[in-house]
Amino acid sequence: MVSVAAPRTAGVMRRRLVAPAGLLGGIPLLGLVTTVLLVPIAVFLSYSFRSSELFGVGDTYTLDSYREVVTSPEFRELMLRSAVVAVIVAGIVVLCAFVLAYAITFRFGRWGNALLGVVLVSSLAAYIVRIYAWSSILGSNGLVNATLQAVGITDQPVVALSYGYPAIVITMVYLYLPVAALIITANMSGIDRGQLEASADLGGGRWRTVASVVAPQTTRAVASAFALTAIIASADFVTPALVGGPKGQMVGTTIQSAVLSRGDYPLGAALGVATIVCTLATLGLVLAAARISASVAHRAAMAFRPAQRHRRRRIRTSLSAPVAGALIAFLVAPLVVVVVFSLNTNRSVGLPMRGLTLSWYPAVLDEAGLIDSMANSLKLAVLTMLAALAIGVPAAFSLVRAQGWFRRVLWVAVLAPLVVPGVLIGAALLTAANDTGIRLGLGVTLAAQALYAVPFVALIVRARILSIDDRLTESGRDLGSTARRALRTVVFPLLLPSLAGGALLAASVALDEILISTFTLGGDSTLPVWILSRARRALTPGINAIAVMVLAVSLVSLVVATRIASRVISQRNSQAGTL
Amino acid sequence: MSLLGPSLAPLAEQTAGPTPFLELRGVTKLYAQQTVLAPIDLDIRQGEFFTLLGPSGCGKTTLLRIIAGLETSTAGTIRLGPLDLLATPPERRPVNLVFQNYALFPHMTVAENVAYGLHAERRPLEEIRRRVADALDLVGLTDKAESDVTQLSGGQQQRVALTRALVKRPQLLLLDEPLAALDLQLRKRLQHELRTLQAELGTTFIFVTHDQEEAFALSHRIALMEEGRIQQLGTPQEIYDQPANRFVAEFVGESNLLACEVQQRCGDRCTVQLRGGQIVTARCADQVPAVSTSALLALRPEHLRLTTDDSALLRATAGLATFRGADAVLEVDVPEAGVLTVCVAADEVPPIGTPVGVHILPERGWLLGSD
Repeated sequence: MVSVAAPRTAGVMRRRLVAPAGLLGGIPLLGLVTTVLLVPIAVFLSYSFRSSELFGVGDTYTLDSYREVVTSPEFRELMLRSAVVAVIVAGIVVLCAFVLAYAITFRFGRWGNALLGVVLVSSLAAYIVRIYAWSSILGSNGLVNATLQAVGITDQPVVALSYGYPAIVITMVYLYLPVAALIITANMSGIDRGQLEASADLGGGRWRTVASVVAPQTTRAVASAFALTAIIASADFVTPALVGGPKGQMVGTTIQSAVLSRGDYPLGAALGVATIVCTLATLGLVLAAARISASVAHRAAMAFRPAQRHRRRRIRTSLSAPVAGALIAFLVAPLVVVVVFSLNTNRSVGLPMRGLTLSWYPAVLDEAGLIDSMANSLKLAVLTMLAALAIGVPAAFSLVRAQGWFRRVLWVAVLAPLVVPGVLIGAALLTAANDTGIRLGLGVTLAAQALYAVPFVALIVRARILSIDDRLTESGRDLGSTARRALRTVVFPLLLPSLAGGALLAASVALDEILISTFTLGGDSTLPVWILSRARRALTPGINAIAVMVLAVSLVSLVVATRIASRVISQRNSQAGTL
Repeated sequence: MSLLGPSLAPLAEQTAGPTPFLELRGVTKLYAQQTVLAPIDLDIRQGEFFTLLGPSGCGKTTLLRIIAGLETSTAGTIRLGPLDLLATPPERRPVNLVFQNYALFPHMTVAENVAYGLHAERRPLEEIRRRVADALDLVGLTDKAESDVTQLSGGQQQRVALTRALVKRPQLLLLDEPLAALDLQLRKRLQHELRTLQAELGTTFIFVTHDQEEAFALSHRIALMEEGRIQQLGTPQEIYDQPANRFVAEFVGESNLLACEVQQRCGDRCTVQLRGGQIVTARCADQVPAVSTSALLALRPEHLRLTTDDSALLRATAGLATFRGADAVLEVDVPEAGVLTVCVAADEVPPIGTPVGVHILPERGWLLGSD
């Protein structure tokens, strides 16, 4: 799904390097994915065929839940709306991500890497804070409305401005743009700059170059980004909860309330299945339509020959750079709003600001449940990090080493936790835990967060292993090291930065996780879950203050992790030089 | 030729005419306060095969990319006939470039790659089909037309890159080390093909290379560049026989440089006295250096002969020999001049350590200023 280029030849070349780690390294990963993802999803699916009774689930198997989902006009409309929102979001995201990727790769020169860093950090930083930012801008007592009322333009919140599908679309574009931009950038950076120059040299203008040279070579990444965004967006329930308002509901919210509040697992499961089917069907239609229209457009462009050539003076300025600059600002500005209004003396988060104060920061710490939630979050972050390292590092070796069907199985196992919507994983875990009598709480949450964090560690460490020159271990062996010794004295020290980067990433992913832990925490709470529950009630500068703290921790650890990762890359280059 | 449009065909006959065709005046490139190109003045004639030769980092590729429009110059003007090139965007210049790594479009077939530039010109489809077919026929790639470019061999990719540029009938074709990635045999063959093609089409070629043999094999004229400056401009023969300075003498071919003092000169002939007192006749340029100044005598290995004669000019000891096929180059240690290289017949290489005599052929060496 996600386009992670797996250089075949490099894998073959480097197999010897990791021979000692062998193929067994993938076993813990497969075990984790089986117990925390596959089995729960299977149990969840089986529940979709059970009958739903007033206080629990009946023992008989029936298609009632599916009948309800299919026949109820309410559900049908919900699914349709969710699918439409998902496709619109994915369309906007992919378009913006393409421009951003193009500008980062080809237009911003040396600044490209810095901007890529901003995108990378915002793709992972403080998910709940980023949604909260839009809620604090668009909500009924948020920035826009509070300002309008304070200035006296209206005396009541303008609901059309704040809640509903436009707000959901804006927020989701904001949430999913960075990941899509990363996927497309990774693909686009493989295009040799010389091809763009060749196109210009052969008479192709900017638009022709983009349309005929860049776009055809990035279609797979664009399709992947589109599909990933649509799937994740269709099942998001946090965004509708915070900015959707009473009318802006999506199917994720309904699944969440069916499973979590009412214990109606059969309905939740049937809705989950229907969502996936509906989204995949819509995706199939959209992608097929896109392919057809692309080839029609291509042929039309090739065949297009105006009878007379108009030699207009062309505008020679680049459009992509300012647009990309605006998109970067769009990624950063809401977070600035959150920070600014955490300092507001007013009790509201809107303009005008009466003055600046830091008093919300100590005040918020007294709020009920916050300290416990923080402690839980920290505990989980540390444990998730350790678990992700223990499972992800051997898995990385195995990914490099594996061939054939086992390789494919491992790739599916690594990518599945990133691609399956969090609401489904969470609802499935909750259902399965209830089915088997396992107590929900921090234990189940730890397993879930480990599942979500392992891919990050495995993919980073794998990239590092592939970048280590085979000749280094060969020279180690040549100078008399045993294979095991070469692993310890040569490979391990070179892997160290990627281990540190992966560990930090795993911890920050765990600190951030909310979609799954909403279901698996039982009576416990974590920081993001606490913020979500408070933000649903009212917006106060206190929540801004805690959001800023989360943001700060999240940003610092991510910046450190990215720094380490970029050092890994530059080390690779210098090694190539010394050999 | 079919590749060349009828409009340009007559021009092919006036090879190396005297009128400047491409005119560079004061073309300068500064990058981060560093001079990549000192002001360059250069006239290139219509139909010429012109080579920019120099070590890596000398500015030759930068100059080529400025002509192509892929890089901007800090100052200067470039005119192609009546056209001000620097005021024309790259896609409008009647100039095409063959890239060093070819920069073929990997998602297009051979034919689509070649057709790209014609589509960009919005030529009628029928004309495009015909011109692409003719061009592929000319370079012998007709049966590869529908192949994936990534499936081709290096030499075939090189031909596609060349065809893709030539099919647009550029007034000026730029080639950036197009043969550097190929093995020796293939390189030799493609050098020959390039030269034949250029002679047939009459298109002006500007070729960039760091390989002096390649430059000699191909060019009508060569500009030898170093540190952003043109060190010498001339035919291959002029550059080899009359190097302008020490850099040129050492970069092109092998040179033995002997310190000497100018004794007398008469037109382009002179006599010099070596450190050991020997008197030698040599060739020299009109201006430099003046009588009784110190100078350098540049001697190619073939200007020196081994001799068993007692009257040999220099006494030396034989060192290592490098076999070259028809002959060998022998290092000899001359006490007063250091190590020199001498051409010897392959079957006459003396054993290491043998005392030998070295004879300098009269009026063959070339006099250089001693900088």
